[in-house]
Amino acid sequence: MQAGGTDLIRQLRRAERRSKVRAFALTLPLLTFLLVFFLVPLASLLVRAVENPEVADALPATGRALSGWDRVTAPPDAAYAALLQDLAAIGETDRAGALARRLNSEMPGSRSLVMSTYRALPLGQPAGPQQARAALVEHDARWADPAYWHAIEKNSSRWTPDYLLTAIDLRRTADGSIERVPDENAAFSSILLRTFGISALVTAIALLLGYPLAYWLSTLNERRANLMLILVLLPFWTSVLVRIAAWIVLLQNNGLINRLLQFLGLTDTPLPLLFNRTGVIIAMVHILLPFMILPLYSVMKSVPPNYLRAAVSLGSAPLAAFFRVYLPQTYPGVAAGGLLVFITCIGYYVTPALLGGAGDQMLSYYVAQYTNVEVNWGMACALGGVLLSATLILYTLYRKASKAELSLG
Amino acid sequence: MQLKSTLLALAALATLPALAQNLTVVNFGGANGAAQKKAYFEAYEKSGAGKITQVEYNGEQAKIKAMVEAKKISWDLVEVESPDVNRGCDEGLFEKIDWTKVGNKADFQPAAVHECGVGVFIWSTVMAYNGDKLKDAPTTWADFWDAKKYPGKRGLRKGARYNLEFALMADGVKSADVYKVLATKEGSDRAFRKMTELKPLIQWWEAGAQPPQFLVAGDVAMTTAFSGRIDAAQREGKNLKITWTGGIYDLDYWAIPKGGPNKEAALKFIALASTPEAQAEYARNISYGPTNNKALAQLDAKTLALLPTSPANSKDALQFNIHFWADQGEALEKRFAAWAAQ
Amino acid sequence: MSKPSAFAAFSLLPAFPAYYTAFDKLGWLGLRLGALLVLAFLLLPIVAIVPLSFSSSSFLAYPIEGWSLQWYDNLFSSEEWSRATRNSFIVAPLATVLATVLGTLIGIGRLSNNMLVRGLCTVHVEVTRNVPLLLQLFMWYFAMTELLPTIEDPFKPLASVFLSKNGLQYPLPEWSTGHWGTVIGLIAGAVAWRFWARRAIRQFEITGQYHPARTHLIGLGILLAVPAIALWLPSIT
Repeated sequence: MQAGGTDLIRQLRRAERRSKVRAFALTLPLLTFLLVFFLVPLASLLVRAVENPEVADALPATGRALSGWDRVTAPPDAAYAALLQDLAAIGETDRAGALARRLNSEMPGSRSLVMSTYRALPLGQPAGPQQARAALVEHDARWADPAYWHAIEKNSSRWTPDYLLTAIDLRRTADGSIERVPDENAAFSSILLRTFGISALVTAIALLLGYPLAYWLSTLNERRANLMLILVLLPFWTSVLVRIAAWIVLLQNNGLINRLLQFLGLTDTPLPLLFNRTGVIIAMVHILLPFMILPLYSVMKSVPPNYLRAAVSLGSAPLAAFFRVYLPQTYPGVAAGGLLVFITCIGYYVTPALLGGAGDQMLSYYVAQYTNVEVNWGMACALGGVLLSATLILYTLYRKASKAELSLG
Repeated sequence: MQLKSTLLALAALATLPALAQNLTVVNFGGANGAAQKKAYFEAYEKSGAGKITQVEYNGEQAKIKAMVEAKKISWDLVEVESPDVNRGCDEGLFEKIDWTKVGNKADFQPAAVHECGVGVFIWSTVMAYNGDKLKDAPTTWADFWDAKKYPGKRGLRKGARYNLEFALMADGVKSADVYKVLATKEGSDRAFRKMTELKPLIQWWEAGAQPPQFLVAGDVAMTTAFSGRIDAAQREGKNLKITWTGGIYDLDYWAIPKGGPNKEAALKFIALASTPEAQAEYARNISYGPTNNKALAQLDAKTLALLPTSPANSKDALQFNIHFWADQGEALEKRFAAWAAQ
Repeated sequence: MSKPSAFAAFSLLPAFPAYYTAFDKLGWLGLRLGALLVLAFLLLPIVAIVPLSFSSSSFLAYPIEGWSLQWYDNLFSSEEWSRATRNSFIVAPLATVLATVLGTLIGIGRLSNNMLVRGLCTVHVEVTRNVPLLLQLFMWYFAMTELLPTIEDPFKPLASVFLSKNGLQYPLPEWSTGHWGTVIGLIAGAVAWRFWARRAIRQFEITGQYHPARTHLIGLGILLAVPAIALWLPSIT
């Protein structure tokens, strides 16, 4: 009996191990897919937000010469000589361009300083460090200003927290502490709040508008529901830019809506509905409404109608039954639709760019601007990283708050 | 035997198109693209040198950077704005131009001769208004800022570029001194203060097609605009007018991404496009100033009057200072974003 | 007792059941009215902009001054538009098919009993859905343009397969007459596999034992062995 028992246990364990290995082997393709196409690019994005290779690569000797500098007195002469040596060693132009661009982000004006010095090399034949200093200062007086040397010294290490700090409106001071950027330059914290604020508002309005429509669709019979669904999806199939142009036609001062309001006598002067927050919200709700309606509709269709009838047969008023019996059963759809709309809204930047004022731009607009116009990819990645972490934090809070009821299966 | 000769004939036929030098030329599209097609692309194709594939873009330099780094150039020739030709040249994105293959440097406007680019045309950012709605023409930037004399909204391009210069000019700074003043801290503070004055009336535009749309729809009383877009609207029959005083002019350049396979053909195209005849034809189709001075002689007085480079129109004009904006652009744009949020 | 009408959704007011108070009837009506208003909101911009595609002016403003088909003419005759349309008709169907297949598989995986499979699929769906699209585009962009090595020193996952910034390069066989033998051999092997599977099912009906994994693995071996033997045979004899 005993021998048969342990034999059975061993067989069971072996079978379980085999099934586990088989399951792992089946998931291996998905795991590699996730790793290669998602985690690796994500990691590279985050690494790029803290990487600072331009100065470290182009000016190694200068970085070493400045390592003992106290940042208060004038930079040592050895640094000047090292700078000339480093600049001469830069062969191809694109390293010099990258260096100029990096230093210019730190200290505006460095681009012309570095490029003009690089182009003017060799600056005579300086015999020693003091002559090197004299030659450089003679070429451009800005080399005597310690601020430019601060910029070089601060960025000589390969890794920097500066991009991330700037993305949340902080900066490192000369003595290494962290302080808030002056108000006239503090743009990003208000932009981040604005992004989440607009997204939350659009999600709420889309939910309010989408719920009745989805409910009505779910009560129709098959044929009529399909017809109505096509009508709902029609704007969904139209290109976003066309929809934006359509809203311009409707909302501009001379547009159809203002004309109608004036015709009905509701207002004398045209209402400013465009190129401000109002226009952005209206257009974004319109664009994202199908994203809210479809998950709601699919969940509502799967809610059995018996519960509502049972509630009424037990004595509830129909309206009260709707709110107390039907509505809670649609929470998964509400959560799915709400999450989808919110996340899409955060990443959107075309609608505010074309329909909003200068103070209505969302974070992705600045990510795009840093990528394309300023070509400062470190800053673009840092802003992207901030957006990502904020989204993850909100998502974790959302999951914590909805542990039991709003599980999505 | 028969199969082999058939295959050889087919192979020979297949290589024939390769002898023609087809180019992919990238520009900003719109009325500018249409004018280029008429004046430059058709001339190139008629000369039998090959076909031109026209591609539209919105100035994204990151794409060119990625192409050059991957060493897989699909764009043979790109029309770039002046800050981009500068930065691209610094960062090794563009080929150095062999001017002996293009033309005589002395024939060109000095600003059009660049190490990595050849000037295509001269355009201007100017003040525009609807002639039907405003009978009393505004003459200076101070008028643009004057809400009492000219009530109504103003259109301005989203961003710090151009607007800070216009603000300083409205505050009384002479156009020749604008960049000197703007380079100082007091100057930029002064410009932002002046912008705050106008802030409640501003309607921001992003795309070049928006200012004429604003004027035609009656959204704004006056707006800054690209001169070519207003010109295109005028050709369509709309009564939009330009005040040329204090306009900011700038050039677009032909640039060849580094490492492309069709560098020689691209240079040949640039040479063709820079001849006086081609440039005159271009200026007849869209009112941008030619970079080849000899082209001006081929234009009639009516066309000349519409160009940014005519003496009447370039009075008080200033050239967009790319070096200033290359240095200060990032910092000022950030300050603008913070200013816009207040 | 009156029954609610079968076309309750479309006739203006159905025969309400007796227990409906005025408040309930108002709620019922209000809900449907609200739904119709939202539908109108969805369709209004489309209805507003379609007439403008027939306008002769390039400005988006009412009233429409002249009518013209020039934009449609431009759309069908211009080279850029036809190129763009062609691209759309290549990318969209491909993406739809792939997304549907992969999405269904991963969606089913989320409901699996195996914890590892379920966890991976959930993570994949949640991460992809909750990261803004712009950031995902950037990640792909940086991965392709920065992470991948240059063409001079490519990544070689398999012999003769190169992965670099210029894309994935792999060898493709050049068709020659000998390949017909491989094709015929593969077809013969597939037929043999089918016979083998049928035999396994017959065995199951007799003995009650069925090992699907083993059966089909052997079947795969048959598929590959038949052309291999058929092609080696001539060189041996």
